[in-house]
Amino acid sequence: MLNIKKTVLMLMAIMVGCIALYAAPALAHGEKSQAAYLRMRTLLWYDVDVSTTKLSVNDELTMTGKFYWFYDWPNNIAKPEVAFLNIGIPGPVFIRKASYINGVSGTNSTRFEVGETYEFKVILKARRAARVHMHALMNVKEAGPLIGPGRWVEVTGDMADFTNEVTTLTGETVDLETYGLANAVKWHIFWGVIAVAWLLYWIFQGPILIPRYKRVKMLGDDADDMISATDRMVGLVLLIGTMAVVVWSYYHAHSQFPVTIPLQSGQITIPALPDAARGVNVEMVDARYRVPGRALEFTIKVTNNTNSPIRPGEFTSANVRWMNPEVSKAEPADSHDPVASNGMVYEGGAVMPGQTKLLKVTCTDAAWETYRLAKLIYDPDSRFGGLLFFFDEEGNRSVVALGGPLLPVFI
Amino acid sequence: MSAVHSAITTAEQQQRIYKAFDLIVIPIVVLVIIGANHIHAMLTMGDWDFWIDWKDRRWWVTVTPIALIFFPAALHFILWSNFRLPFGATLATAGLLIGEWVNRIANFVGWAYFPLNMVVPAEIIPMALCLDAILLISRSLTMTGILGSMLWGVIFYPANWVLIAPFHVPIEYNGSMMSLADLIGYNYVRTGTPEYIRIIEEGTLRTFGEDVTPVSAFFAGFISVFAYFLWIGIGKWFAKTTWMKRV
Repeated sequence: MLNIKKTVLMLMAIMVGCIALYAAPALAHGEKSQAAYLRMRTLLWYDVDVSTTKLSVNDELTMTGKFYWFYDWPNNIAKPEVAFLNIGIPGPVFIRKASYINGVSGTNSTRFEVGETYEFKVILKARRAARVHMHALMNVKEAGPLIGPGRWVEVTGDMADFTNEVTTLTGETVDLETYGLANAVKWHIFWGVIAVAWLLYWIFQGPILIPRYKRVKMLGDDADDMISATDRMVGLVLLIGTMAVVVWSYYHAHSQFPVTIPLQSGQITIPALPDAARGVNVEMVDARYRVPGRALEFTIKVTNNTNSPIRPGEFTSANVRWMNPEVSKAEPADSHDPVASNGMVYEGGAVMPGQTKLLKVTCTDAAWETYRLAKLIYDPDSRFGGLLFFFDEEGNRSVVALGGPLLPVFI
Repeated sequence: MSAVHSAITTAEQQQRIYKAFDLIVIPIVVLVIIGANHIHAMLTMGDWDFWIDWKDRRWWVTVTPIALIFFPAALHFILWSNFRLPFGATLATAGLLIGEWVNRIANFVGWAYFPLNMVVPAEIIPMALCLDAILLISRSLTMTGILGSMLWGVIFYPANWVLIAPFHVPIEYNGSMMSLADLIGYNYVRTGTPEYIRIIEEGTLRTFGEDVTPVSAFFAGFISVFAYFLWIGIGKWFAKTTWMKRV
């Protein structure tokens, strides 16, 4: 006969065992899990690079790049009224020595303008040995993390060698790795010992549960008589002693640290970079996603107000890059850098200065599927977005944001 | 002649049974309190207690005592009304701190590699000792609720200033003035905890300037009084015995 309890317990044990065996280290940050429209129509990152991908503990690494807040911001996503430039890494493998947005320190949260471009720089110092997939990241209040391109970075060395020394305005040089810890532990131990002594005072009065319970029930309204005068005296000493130590410790800390400030917090607004389009205007005529071919095809009306002929060399969206190698070349920086080196072709030739003409651009790559961008056609509003890079013959670049409704082609 | 005989025939045997009962039940109760209070604390005050750069003069001072008086109040009722034992608050807070230290060392440092000084929990035992002592002296849950709970909220900040004062020393960093706590929060990257998530002195009470701490502390004490009585009621509910009429 089936024993229900044993069967349930066995199933639970098997389930827990399977979960424990299956659990594997996280190697990425779920960047593909975010909805395609969110990645394509919120924050568009480009020119993201790191100064090195191999370094030792205490060495510094600089991440640089630009980001554009897409003009056709989704209605259901909070706008970047409050945002914070961050780094996506598994715990403090690095410490952040400095971060800048358009040259302004990024220690505070920042307000950004939709439709504008900013550049960033983050200086990191390696803290512990690890091989991590490091992302540029922007946290947006009520919207969540908007993840930028990632790079595999390897740190070697011993975390024990890491130091993070700073000098305060009162002239003291401290190591933030351990600063204040011994003092905090000392006080926790002190109060912990008092607490244990207090608990043992009662527990050592003999068996305390059944006998005391029986006496309380037996004495009824007179149960308070179980508390002796000695007990109450101990309570009084405990109360006065505790208050005395609290008051003393408070004033002692004031005398030890006479200059203190409250925690600092504030928000700033940083002016945007000049328009990166540099006189190139683009209007979307139509756009289709060809499901069998994994290709985005869009027709645009381009007006060239620059002094040189221009041609499209790259389309980027959701951190994926489709390159037109006849105009601009790029290769994947590592195994997880989604660059379609031959992913973009176009029809229509160069756009001459002062000319307005139609161009048909096709961006093809398996990344539409592997990066879950093709899911866009199942969104409620089915709109896409991205940045199209035009280049003139001297290599000058115009960056133009474009987007619009996307029609799927299934056959 | 009865077919059932008691296994306890002497006073010594009875004493041994009582001791064995204590030895079995007390560790289990302590573990349950550690686990339950820790979950409660993480869900209610969470980041305020996790991070050194969250411990501000207003919200941390207000939220922590109010959130943490729940278990002491419930245990006060259970242990006092049934056993006349006045250590419920100390048991709850010491248990919580054991759980927190294990969590900080194993999780925050062991797994995530944050420096331990960044995640030291708040000191709450002095508040609990006062609450217990007032219960013992007054032998009244009502007096403890009124006087003890107010004291519980009021002394939280002074009792912790000795721990956090070193982290409030100012520093110039990249052209801004920050406290060392702010700098630690900025240096040690937390991908899921951006700067703006911190709730630092937000609200109109900020217009009180540096006098904001006593106002917050007394407010925390005031609300703790109500929370204490609410959780005495919940402790009463948890302590009641209900027999099922049939399975």
